[in-house]
Amino acid sequence: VAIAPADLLLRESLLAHVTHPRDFDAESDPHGWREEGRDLLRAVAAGSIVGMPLLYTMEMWWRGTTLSAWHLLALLASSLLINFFFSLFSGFRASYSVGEALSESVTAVALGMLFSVAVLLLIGELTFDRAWSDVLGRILVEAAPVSLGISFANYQVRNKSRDGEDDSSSKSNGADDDPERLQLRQDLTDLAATVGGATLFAYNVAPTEEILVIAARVSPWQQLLMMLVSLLLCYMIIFAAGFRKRTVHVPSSFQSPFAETVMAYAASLVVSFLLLALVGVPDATSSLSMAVSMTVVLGLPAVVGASAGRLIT
Amino acid sequence: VTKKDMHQKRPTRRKFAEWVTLGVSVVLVLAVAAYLFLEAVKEHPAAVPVTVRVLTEEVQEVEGTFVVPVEVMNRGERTLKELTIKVTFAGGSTGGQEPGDITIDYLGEKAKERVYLYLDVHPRELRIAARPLSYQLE
Repeated sequence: VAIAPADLLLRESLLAHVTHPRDFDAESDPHGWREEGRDLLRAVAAGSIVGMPLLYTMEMWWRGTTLSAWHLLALLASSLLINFFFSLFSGFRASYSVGEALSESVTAVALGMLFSVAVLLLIGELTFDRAWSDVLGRILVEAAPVSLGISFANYQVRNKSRDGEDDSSSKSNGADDDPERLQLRQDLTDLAATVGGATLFAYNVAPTEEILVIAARVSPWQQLLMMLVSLLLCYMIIFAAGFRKRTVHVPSSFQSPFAETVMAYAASLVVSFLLLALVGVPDATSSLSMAVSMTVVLGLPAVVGASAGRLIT
Repeated sequence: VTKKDMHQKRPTRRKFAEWVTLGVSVVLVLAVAAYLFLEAVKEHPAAVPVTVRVLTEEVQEVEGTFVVPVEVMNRGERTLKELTIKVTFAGGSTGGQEPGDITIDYLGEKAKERVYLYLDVHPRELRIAARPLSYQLE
């Protein structure tokens, strides 16, 4: 296939956008900040995939408030222990040792707590006018599954690339090397993965009362913030979490990370609205403002599922 | 991709950034554990004081009915489950206002919650009394 030099340049620039180096050498990253940043982003991405549906579960919020301090201490100790064992086999960094697993388990629990705080604040479930034990209970109960997701980050998201599917599809049909058709096939596969992942995650929570409860209490400003966080998480999971390189058959601005993130989020919002209309609580679409609010609220777990779907195809 | 696959690709010597992350994480986890330990050894009585205030000064009229907020506060150190509030009415004319119960599923320690009453007559013509009736502990 002949590609014009201008196309080649565009293609190179697009690849530069979607290519992330796997490791940073000692000269460019002497203190390891960039590599650590990438590892932590990957960890948050994996933690959100596992923890997001549970962060939208009312019983999880309530359990946290009713457990005694001894229970919560036991939960914290168990989380550290289980994360240690998981970190021996997976973890979220590239190094491998018992000491590293110990370090990763503590970091996974701490990161799980911080992520839980952020999401619970975003959905209006966490306020600091309560007793500290009440606040900590909610955080710890949610942080446990999030930290487990973090400890499985290497299995879940590291070096997940869509190269594999493209290569295999190309090999299975060698005669079909029309870049337009290859690009269309890749885009359709991506869309199917996005819609499938979003549906799988959003269906878990769409019929529940939690969506209504959250939507009723978050202000329009909080909803805007929720949209920003959804876009950020989507970008982190798809592109920042070790997305190495991607074959672009027909270069265009639609292949840029920003455009793909926005399109994935838009698809998640459409899936969320349809699920709310089909299986949501009766009040879900009773008014425009409630429909918008509930769609944005459900859009957060949906976009995590959409991004996760793109990783596993 | 397993850790063993990646083992050869990166030295295991920890860099400064990882030490910083580990330090912050250890401080956070230890602080939470220390707080929980102190809470665990502290006495938490089963009797929990609850304050209920009818905020008649904040009444609002909506389509011919009056909406009055009631503020419920858990002043104790235990989370309450199935907290029931008894509301009764007295005065010259109660306007057929029947007494009733309000149930709050969960009310955390030091937590405050507002519930709203619908009244057919203005609350200044009534004496509204609200008091905690029962709760459960887990």
